[in-house]
Formats: sequence, structure tokens, C-alpha cells
Amino acid sequence: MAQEKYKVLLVEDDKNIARLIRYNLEKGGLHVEHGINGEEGFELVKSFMPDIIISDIMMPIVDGYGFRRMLLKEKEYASIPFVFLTAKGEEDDILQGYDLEIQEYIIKTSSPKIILVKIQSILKSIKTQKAEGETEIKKAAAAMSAKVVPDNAPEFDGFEISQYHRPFNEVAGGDFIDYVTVNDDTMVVVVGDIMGKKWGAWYFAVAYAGYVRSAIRFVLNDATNICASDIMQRVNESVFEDERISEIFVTLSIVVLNKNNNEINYCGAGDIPLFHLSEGEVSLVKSEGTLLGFQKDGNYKDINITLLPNDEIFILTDGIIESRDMRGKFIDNERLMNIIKAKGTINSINFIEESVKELTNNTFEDDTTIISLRKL
Amino acid sequence: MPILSENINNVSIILVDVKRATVVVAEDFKSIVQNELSNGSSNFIFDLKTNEFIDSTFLAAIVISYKKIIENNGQLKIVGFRPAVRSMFELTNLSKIFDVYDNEQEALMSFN
Repeated sequence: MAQEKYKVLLVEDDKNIARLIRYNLEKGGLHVEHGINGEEGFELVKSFMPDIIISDIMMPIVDGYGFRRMLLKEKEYASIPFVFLTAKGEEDDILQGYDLEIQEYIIKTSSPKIILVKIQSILKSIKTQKAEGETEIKKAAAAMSAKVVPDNAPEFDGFEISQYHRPFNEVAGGDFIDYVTVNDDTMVVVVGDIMGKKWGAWYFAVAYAGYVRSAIRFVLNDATNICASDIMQRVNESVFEDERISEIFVTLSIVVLNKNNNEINYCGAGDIPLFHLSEGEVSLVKSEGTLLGFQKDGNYKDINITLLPNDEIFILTDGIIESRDMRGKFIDNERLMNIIKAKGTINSINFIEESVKELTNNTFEDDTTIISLRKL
Repeated sequence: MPILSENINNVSIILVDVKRATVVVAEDFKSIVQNELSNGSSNFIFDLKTNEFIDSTFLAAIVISYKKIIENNGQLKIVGFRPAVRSMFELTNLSKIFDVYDNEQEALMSFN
């Protein structure tokens, strides 16, 4: 299990002091990146997205005050806890520091152990505050008793279905999953992603999941053979005509499974390609359709994929491939393909989950959803 | 303000001057486009050359703005795709719908 480490950005021009502080913070279980002035620090904030920033004041090019002001101008970075660590210990210096909305002002004469304890204390209090806020949201979500992701994947003859879903910051979000049993032979698997995050997106996910179910019922009434593109087009028309959700866009993957058939039937709307693992090789299956609700005819087409025994199809939203590793690099399609190839005989979903958690230091920036359909 | 607008030859050029265009700037972006529309602009260029990454909320803001521009009988051109942003438009199949140019100059010429 990958262990989550807090990320600390240390901005300090004196290499010896930086080395000493870094050593102690890392010894205390923190992951540290180092910049040598405010300008470099600002760039590192963007790529590294630290949980806390420790900055010296007197530095060349952009000093600590300037660095802090740059961060305060950006909504995304202004709320990252900020600590000055400086030799400037006069009353006026300290007051000037606190004027810049910082959490703590530490004088460099403090021992490295004291610095570590202070940083850990700030991180702990932030974690507690966040947990309290999220508990309230979770209670509200539970009270509305609307689930957009089933607790477990269903059983279906001829396939082994597994799923992994993790909402953004553990709060119900914009991804939704549905498994609709059409009859003894046929099941429809639906994965959607509302474009947006957290609470607002979750509200629409509930509505969308309902739309998809209605569309499946409607298509079933009209045809004996259910196909993914008919469902998609029906959902799209309903969404396009509904003014209440005219500013909400959704990516959707629909896969129809038939236990008597070696083919699966797929249609996508602006979604991430399906990953197809067959005999040790992974290929991508890309849909042609645009986002749901974007235009009346979304140009939705069926794609039929023939599966060999043990072939696996992965359906996912963008959470995994748009999460970033410790160096700020995306886990893109190619890296995910390599992870899938490397899994060997291990359960795919568990392997992918653990691999991605390790690469990202268990930090995600969006809902994360992946479903595996293994042909038996 | 990370979102800048200027008018050249009756075309509103909107520059999103942040490396990561995300939920943080999406609302401001929509408001600025709406404001330009209310002031009589109909033709737009969205310049994304600064954006190394856009998230799905910001992409939705572009799509919403596009729909409003079309409803207003206007045109939208997008310029300055960086690789990750291009890949986002390709993934969502939006690259086939939007009119994309390499730079502002080419996009401006295309309105003529």
C-alpha cells in the first residue's frame, strides 16, 4: 500500500541551510522539493502543488515577500499554508510577515526539530479541519440517499467484472457508474463523467444516471436488439433539449455485454478510449462521438470488439490519466498501457490502483473510475 | 486578472494567461465572454497559448461560450494549442468541431 506523504516546498537560497532543513523534514516523513528563490518557488508551486510552503525572506531575484504576494494573487495557490523561515527577527519583520496572511513565522535560530514539529502541527490542524468539513458533506449526501456508483460490480455470466472508484478528495463527485441488466443474456455498463468537480457535479451525476436508465428503457421498447449508439443518441437528444442542464456537459461510455456473444458493443461520447488487453498487448479503442448535449446529432456510432478468452476491456474516466506523478508528469494513456501490460496474472484493478497510487503519492485531482470487463 | 481581452478588427481575442486553466478561472472566463457578447461582439478568438493544461471544468466553460457565440450568429476560432490541451480536445472529439489555427494572425485572417 502506497503511503501518503505530505508535500513540502522549501524556498531557501542558502544551500547549507536548505540541506539541513530538508534532511530533517524528510526524516520526519515529509516529501520535500527545493527552490532557490521566489521565482523558482512559484514555478515549483505550479508543478509540485505542495501541501505547505516554507520560505526564506531575503533571497535574490524574487524575495520571500514578493513570492508570497505572487501566490496571494492566484486563487488556486493563495490557500496553500505558508510559513516564513527567516533570520529577520525584528518585531516589524514579523508583523510584516503576518500581514501577508501566513500561518507561521519561524526564526532561523530555532532548531530543525522545532521547525519540523511546527510544520507537522500546521499540517495536522489542516487535515482535521478538512475532515470535519467533508464529514458534513458526506452526511448530506447520505441523507439524500442517492448513489451514483454501486458499492460492488455485479456478477454476469461469461464475464468477470471489477471496478475501482474513488471520488475527488473522498467527496461524492461527477463520475457515475451504472450496470443495467436488460435480460438474462444482456447487460449494459455505463460510465459517465460530468465536466466539473465535487458537489455541483455530483448533483448532476444523479440526474444523468436517471437519464441514461430512461434512455435504455426507451430503446428497449423500440427494438429487440439493444445497441449502444441508440442509447447514446437517445440520451443526447433528451439532454440537448433540456434547458435546465444546457450548461452541463458529460462524457459517457456505454458497453453492451451479451453472454452468448464474443463481441461487445461500444459507443462513446467524448470519452477516454477503451483499453483492450489481449494476449499481453494493449490497444486503444477510440470513439467518434462528441460530448453529450453539445449538438443534437452527436454522430454516435457503434464499435464492436471481438474478445478472446481472458481478454480484458477497461473503461475509465480521465481521473487516472490526468493525475500527476511526484514530478508533475501526467499518467497518460501510454503509461497506463504499460501498467496494464505489467500486471501479469495479478488482479488488474488492484494492480492498477496500487501502481497509480504509488506514482501519484496517493494524490488525485479528480474523480477516479476504472472498470475491468474480463472475458471468461 | 489572468484573462485578458482585446478587440482587433471587430474580433474579440480572449487570452487565458495562466499555465493551468482550471475550475479556478472558468467562471471568470465565461463572464468575460458573456460581457463581450453583451457589448456587441460576435466573432471571437480564444488564445490558449499560455495554457499547458486545462481541466474538464474549463473545457466545459469553452464549450458553453462556444454555444453562446453560435446562438449569437458569431464565429469562434481557437489558437495556441499546447500538446496536453490538444490531446484534451482530441480525446473529447471537440477538435473536429472547433475551428483551430496555429496563431492569432492566421485566425484573424480567416475571418476575412
